[in-house]
Amino acid sequence: MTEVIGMPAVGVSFMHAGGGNDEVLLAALEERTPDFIAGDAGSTDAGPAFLGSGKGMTHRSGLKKAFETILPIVVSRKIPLIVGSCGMAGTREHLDEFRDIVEEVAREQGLHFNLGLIDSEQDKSALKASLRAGRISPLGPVPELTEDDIDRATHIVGMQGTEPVIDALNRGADVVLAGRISDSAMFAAVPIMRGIPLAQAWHMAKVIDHGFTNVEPVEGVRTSVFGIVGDDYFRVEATDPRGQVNAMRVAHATVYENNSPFHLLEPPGVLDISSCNFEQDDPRTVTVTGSEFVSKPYTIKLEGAERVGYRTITIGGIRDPELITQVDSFLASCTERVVQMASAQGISEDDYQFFFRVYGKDAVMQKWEPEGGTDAHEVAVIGEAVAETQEIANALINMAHVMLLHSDYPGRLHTTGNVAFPYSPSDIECDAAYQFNVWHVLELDDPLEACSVDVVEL
Amino acid sequence: MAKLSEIADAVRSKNAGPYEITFDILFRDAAMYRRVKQTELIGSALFAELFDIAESDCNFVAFDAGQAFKCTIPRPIVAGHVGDPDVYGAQQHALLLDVDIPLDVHLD
Repeated sequence: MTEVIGMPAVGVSFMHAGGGNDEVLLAALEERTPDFIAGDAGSTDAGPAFLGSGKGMTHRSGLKKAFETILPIVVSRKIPLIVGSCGMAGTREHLDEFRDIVEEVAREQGLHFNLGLIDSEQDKSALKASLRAGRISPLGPVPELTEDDIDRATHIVGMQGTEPVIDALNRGADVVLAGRISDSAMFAAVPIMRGIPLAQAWHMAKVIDHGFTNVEPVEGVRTSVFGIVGDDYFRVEATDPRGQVNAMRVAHATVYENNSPFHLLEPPGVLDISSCNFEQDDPRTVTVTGSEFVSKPYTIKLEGAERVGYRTITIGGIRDPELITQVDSFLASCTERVVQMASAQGISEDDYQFFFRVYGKDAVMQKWEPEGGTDAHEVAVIGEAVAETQEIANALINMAHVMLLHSDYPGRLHTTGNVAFPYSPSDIECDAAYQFNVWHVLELDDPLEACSVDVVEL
Repeated sequence: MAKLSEIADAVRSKNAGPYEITFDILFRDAAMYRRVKQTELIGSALFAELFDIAESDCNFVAFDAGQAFKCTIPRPIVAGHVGDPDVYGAQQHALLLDVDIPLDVHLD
């Protein structure tokens, strides 16, 4: 039996912004000693920018606070700590940032331990060789990968399985920081290392990773959960003595953000939960039995992003009722004039994308929006340009805000300005814009072949 | 008749990776889930119609153990690509809220 505790989203939802949540976990750790603590610090949910740029999403001071809290506990109590998908995307830069923070906290607090580091940034020439060998295929509705895609990507990471974590722990690591890794792998590694069957280990891991969603909120705050996993079952228990875990919520944890509720693809195969039984033992505990695992050839997911240009935007509000009724034709004429002015300045239409979004009308659902027009008394307009250089994007938005402000339209009763700009300057540089361009699976002969594992003494 | 927003306990959308979006309709009450399922209204055909895509692009599942319906479809724009309105795919569920379910028993 292995006991774990889930710490979702290190530095964001739990340790940094969790408030009372921190106290619940720290109190729970005084009562019992889990076999490991893991925290998922990343995701592709927030889009391609973090992978593309190598910049993190969480502020360094928040992350540092998180490690200042947890490191002395895990080091003094000898509880392995596994933090994966560092810095959102888990690139080498993200891993280095986390390593720097952990080393700083260790130095400041006089902590000594072995730090395992799993680098999952991919080598482009190795990937091209795998592509030529037919070992890379699309994951879902994605085009076939090309060598050109690989070249254009600013970063490509490989979502690792449990094996690199187990390797680091076997080599004496007390704390493991991983680049991109399967959310569940960081929770499944220790149970699998201890001989727990894959089905129970991976299913428990999937549920614990979404710890919060299993628990009824206590005073508006959701807490983490204990996962207890054995040979033919696993159990989910609220860390908060007042917390309640609901069987239906545990079942739903496997539905969340997956394309199938029954079959979950992980590096060594597919977790099948279609025959599972979710049993409510008591208000705080749910036991799950019947998980199955079908082994497949070992694969890892590749994630890559490329820079598509540089973005500048402007945001303005419209309150004039006449202008709201003709906002589409008004913006179409503004767009036309921006294109003409840009062309006059030698900026070709091939070198940029320029468009408006109208909030209050159809900006959120676009072509899925069934409501035609708008009944809103005010709408927000965002003008957006993505161009080869920041300078061109800036130039386009500069023209756009002038057009927005001063273009005439039928029935205008004012000449002061068509939009309310909330900011000065009204043009906002957004730096580089990225898009995902690698979302594929890579077959491996050896689960350790597409990463490097180091263990350093602190 | 009852709208899904009146009888379901969760109606939500979320990315399933950047290339797909998944919709979940969850029920706490087992009897209500069964009644809705019996109408056979929640299925691939409904999602195909609402989102103007081919039925073959709708990966629909009724998940009895979770008292949930789930459908995954390709995103019209990949998450975070230029022009994408919803990076997390978290606000695309609204069309489902007004779906009328012909329940034969009066609801309080």
